[in-house]
Amino acid sequence: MKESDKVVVGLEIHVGVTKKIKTKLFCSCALPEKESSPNSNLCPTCLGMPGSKPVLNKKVLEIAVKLGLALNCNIQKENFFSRKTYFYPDMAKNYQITQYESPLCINGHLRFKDKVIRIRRIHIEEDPASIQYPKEIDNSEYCLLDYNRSGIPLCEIVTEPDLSSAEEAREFLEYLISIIDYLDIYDSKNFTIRVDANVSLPGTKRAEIKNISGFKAVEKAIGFEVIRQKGKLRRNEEFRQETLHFDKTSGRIIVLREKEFEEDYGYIYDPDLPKIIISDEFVKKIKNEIPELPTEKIERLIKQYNISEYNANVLVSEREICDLFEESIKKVDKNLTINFIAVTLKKILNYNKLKLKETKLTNNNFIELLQMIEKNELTPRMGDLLLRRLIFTNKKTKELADEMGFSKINNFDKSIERILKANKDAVNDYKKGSSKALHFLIGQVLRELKGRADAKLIEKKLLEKIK
Amino acid sequence: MDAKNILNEARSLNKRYNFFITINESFLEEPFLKKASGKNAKPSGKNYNEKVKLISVKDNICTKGLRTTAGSKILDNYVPVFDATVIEKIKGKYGVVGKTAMDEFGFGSFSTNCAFNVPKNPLDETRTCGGSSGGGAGYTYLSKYSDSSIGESTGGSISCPAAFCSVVGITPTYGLVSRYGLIDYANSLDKIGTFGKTVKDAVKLLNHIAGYDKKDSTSIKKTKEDYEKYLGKNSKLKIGIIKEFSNGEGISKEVEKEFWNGVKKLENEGMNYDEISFSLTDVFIPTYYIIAMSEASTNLAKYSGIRYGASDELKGTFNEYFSHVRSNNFGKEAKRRILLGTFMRMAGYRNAFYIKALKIRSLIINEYKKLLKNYDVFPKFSEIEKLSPVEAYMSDLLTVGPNLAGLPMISVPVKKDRPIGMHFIADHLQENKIIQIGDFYERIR
Repeated sequence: MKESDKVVVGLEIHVGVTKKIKTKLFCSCALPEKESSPNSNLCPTCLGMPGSKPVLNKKVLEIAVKLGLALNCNIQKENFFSRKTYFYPDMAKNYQITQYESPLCINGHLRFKDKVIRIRRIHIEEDPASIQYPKEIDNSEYCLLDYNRSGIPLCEIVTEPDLSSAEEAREFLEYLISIIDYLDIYDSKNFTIRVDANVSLPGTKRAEIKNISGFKAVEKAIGFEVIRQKGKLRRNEEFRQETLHFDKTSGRIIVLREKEFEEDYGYIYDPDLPKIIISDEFVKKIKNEIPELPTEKIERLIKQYNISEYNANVLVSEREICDLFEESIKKVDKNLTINFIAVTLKKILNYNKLKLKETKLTNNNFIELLQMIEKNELTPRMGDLLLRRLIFTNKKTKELADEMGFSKINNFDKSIERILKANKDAVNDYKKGSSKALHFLIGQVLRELKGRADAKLIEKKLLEKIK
Repeated sequence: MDAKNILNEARSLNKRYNFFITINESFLEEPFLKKASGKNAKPSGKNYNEKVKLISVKDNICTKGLRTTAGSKILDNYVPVFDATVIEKIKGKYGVVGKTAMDEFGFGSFSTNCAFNVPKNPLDETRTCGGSSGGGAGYTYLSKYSDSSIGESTGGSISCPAAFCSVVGITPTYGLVSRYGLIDYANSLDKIGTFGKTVKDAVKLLNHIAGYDKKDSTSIKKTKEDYEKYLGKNSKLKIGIIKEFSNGEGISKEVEKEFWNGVKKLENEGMNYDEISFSLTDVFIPTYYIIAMSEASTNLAKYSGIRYGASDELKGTFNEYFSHVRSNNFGKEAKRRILLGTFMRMAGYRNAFYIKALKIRSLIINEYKKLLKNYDVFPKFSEIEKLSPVEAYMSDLLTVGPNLAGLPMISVPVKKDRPIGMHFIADHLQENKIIQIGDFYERIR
C-alpha cells in the first residue's frame, strides 16, 4: 500500500437513545415524533429560559451503561455533567450539558472483521435544537429552529482512529447499529444517527466532517474528503485543522471554519447537577439485562445447529429473525426453516425495505406456513406468495391461504390427460430423448393447476402415463 | 388596613428610594386577597384579606406574568411564563407587592451596579443599601405594611444589605430552599433566603419557602422543620470568633466597637466565646470570585437575543447579531465578570484557576466543618467608601467564606436602627442554631 493511501478515520457517533424512555434527558417533556409539528414538545428547561433547571432522567444512565458494557467499556464510578460552552443558533443555553472529565464509559473495544476497533469513550449529552436551512448551510439568508429535538438524550460513542477507509467506516457503523438494535435502545423511526468523522492522511491535518446522517452519506463524505486531501497534498497546499460540512444533496464538502487551535469550550462542571455514583450492583444488574450479542450468537448458532457461517450471519442480522429461527426449528425441519428464512423471507424483507420487527409476521404464522409446506399442503412457491402477504396482515396463515385459493391439488389425473392429448409433439420429442420436452409438459400442467400442485409429483405422474 | 395603602406606600417609597424595579400594580386582583366572606367581591380596598401578608421579592426570582429583569437591561422586557418554586409555595399566604432593586444579576455588594435606578439607604439617603439584594432590605426596613422579603445570596447578598439597612437577613443552608425559577448567578453558590424587620418575621417567611423540590437537583431531601419553634429559646450556644476577621485590618473603629459590645452582651448572658484561627482566609476572595465568575459566564451565555429578552434588528451573521445584543445590553460589571469568568475556564488557565479554586473550596468547607464541631462562628461588617473593583471585591471577605461552604447564617442589627450587623454562622442544616442565637441576641441587645 502506498503511504498516501493510509487513510485514518475516527468516528463520533451520536445515538438518540429514546427507545425505552418517555421523556427528554433533563425535563419532563414528552419525546417528539417525526410527525410532531415544530416546536410543540417544549418547556422552560429545554428552551433554556432564565430560572429553569435540569433534572436528570435516570433511566438514561441504565441505557448508557448497557451500551458501554456491550462495547466492552469500563464503567466509571463517579460521574459528573459538564457545561460545554459555545455560541450556536441551535443551542438553547449556548452551553450543552455533556460529560467531559468523566465520561460514563471508557476504554472499550469492538471486534470487527479481523480488527479491533477501540472505543475511547461513551458519554451522555443533550441534543441541541435542529436547524433547517432554506438553502445550503453556506448560502442561506436565515435558518429556522425546531426545539423539539432540544434535550433529547444522546449517547456519543467516540472511537479511536482505527478505521482505514470510507467503506470500512460504513461497514463498522452498520455493525455497530446491529448491536444497538440488539440492545433495543434506539428508535430508528423517529431519530437519525448522526456521525462526525475525523479524517486524515499521512502529511495532512485532521479534518472533522460534522453531522453526517445516513451511513451511505458517511462513506461518501469520507471518500470525498480523502480525495480533497489528496488533491491538496498534490498541489502542496498548507493544511489547517478544518471543520467541514457535507451537503448530501449536492455531495459537496463545505469548509465551515479553519482553526489553528483546538476549539476551546471552557468546560466547567454543571453546578445544577450533583455527582452521580454508579454502584457495582447497578452495573451487575444491567449486565444481566444485556441480551446475547451478534458475535456470540453467531458462534453459538454454528456450534449448536451445525449451520454455515453465512447462514448464521443472515440469522443474526436482526435479533427478531434469529428468534424466529430458534422458535421455528422446535417444530419444523431445520433445513427447510433456514432455507425459507435466509432466502425467501430475507428477499421479501429486502424488497420491501423492512425489518422483520416492522412487519406483522408472527412466529406462529410463520411456523404454520412451514408446517403446511412440510405436510405437502402448500408448495414452496405458494409459501413464498403467501409470505409476501402475510407480513402485512393480522390474518392467520390458514385463513389467508384459503382466501388466496392456496390449497394444494393432489389429484390431477384429468389435467395430465388433457395436456398429453393437446401436446402430442412434445410427448414424441420426449420419447426421442428430449428432457426439455418433459419440462415443458410439467410447466403446462402447473399452469393449468395455477401452481397448486407439486412439480415433482406432476413429473412422476406424467412419466407413468407416457410409459 | 386598606390594601390600596400598601400600593400607595410602595409607590411613594419607590419615588424617593428606588427600592423596586417593578411594582406589582395588579396584585389587588389576586383572588387570594379576597375576604373569605365576600365571594364575588372585587378584592380591592376594604375587601382585602388581612390574613394575607404582603412581601417584596428580589427581581431575579421568576414571577409568572410579572416582569422579572434580574436587574439587567437584557431582561428589561422579560415576563416569565412560570413561577419560581418559592413563589408557588407562598401562594395564598403572601402577596407580592413588587420586585426589588438589585445589582445586575447579583454582580455587586452595594446595589450600585444597576441597570435601573440605584436604591438608597433608608437610614441615610446618601449611602447605599448594600447588595446585591439591596431593594428588598431597604423596603423591609421602611415599609409600614410589609415585614419581610425574599432575597438571594451568592457571596453575601443577604447578610450585607441586611446589615446596611438594619434588618434581619437569613441565608439558609445551600439546598434548603429550591432554586427553581431563580435566575442563576453562580448555581453552586446561589441561595434564596429572607429578610425581616425582626428575626421572627424572617423566620416565618423561611418556614413557607424551605423544603425539598424535585425540580431542583441540588435541593436537599429532608423532613420539613418548623423554624418558629426555635424562637424565644434561651439555650446557651458555644461561640467561636475567627481571629483573622475580628482583628483584621481595614475595619472601622466604630464597627469594631459595636461588635465587641455585642459579644459582651452575649457573655453577660452566660455565653462564653473562644477566639479561634482559620487558616484559609487569605484565599476566600479569589476562590469565591473564580468559581462565581466561571459559573456566571456560562449562565449569561443564554442571553443572545433569540427567544427572550433584549433583541435587535436581524442583521449580519449570528455571531455579529448576538455580540451586538450583548454589547448593548449588559452592564459594565456583567461584561467584566463574563470576560474574567471565560478566561478562568479556558484551556491553559483552567487548571491554574477554575480547577484549583474547586479544590480550595473543599478545603475551606472541611475547615469550617472541623471548627463547627465545637462552635458557632461569627464575623461582622464594615462600612465602605469609594472603591476600585478589586477593593469592592475585597469587601466581601467576611461573607464569602460561609457562602462558599454553603453554611446557614443570620445577620441581626447590633442595635435597633443601627446599620451594623452581628453575623452568626452555623453548620449545614443547623438553622435552629442561627435562629436561636439571632432571636436571643435581638432580645438582649
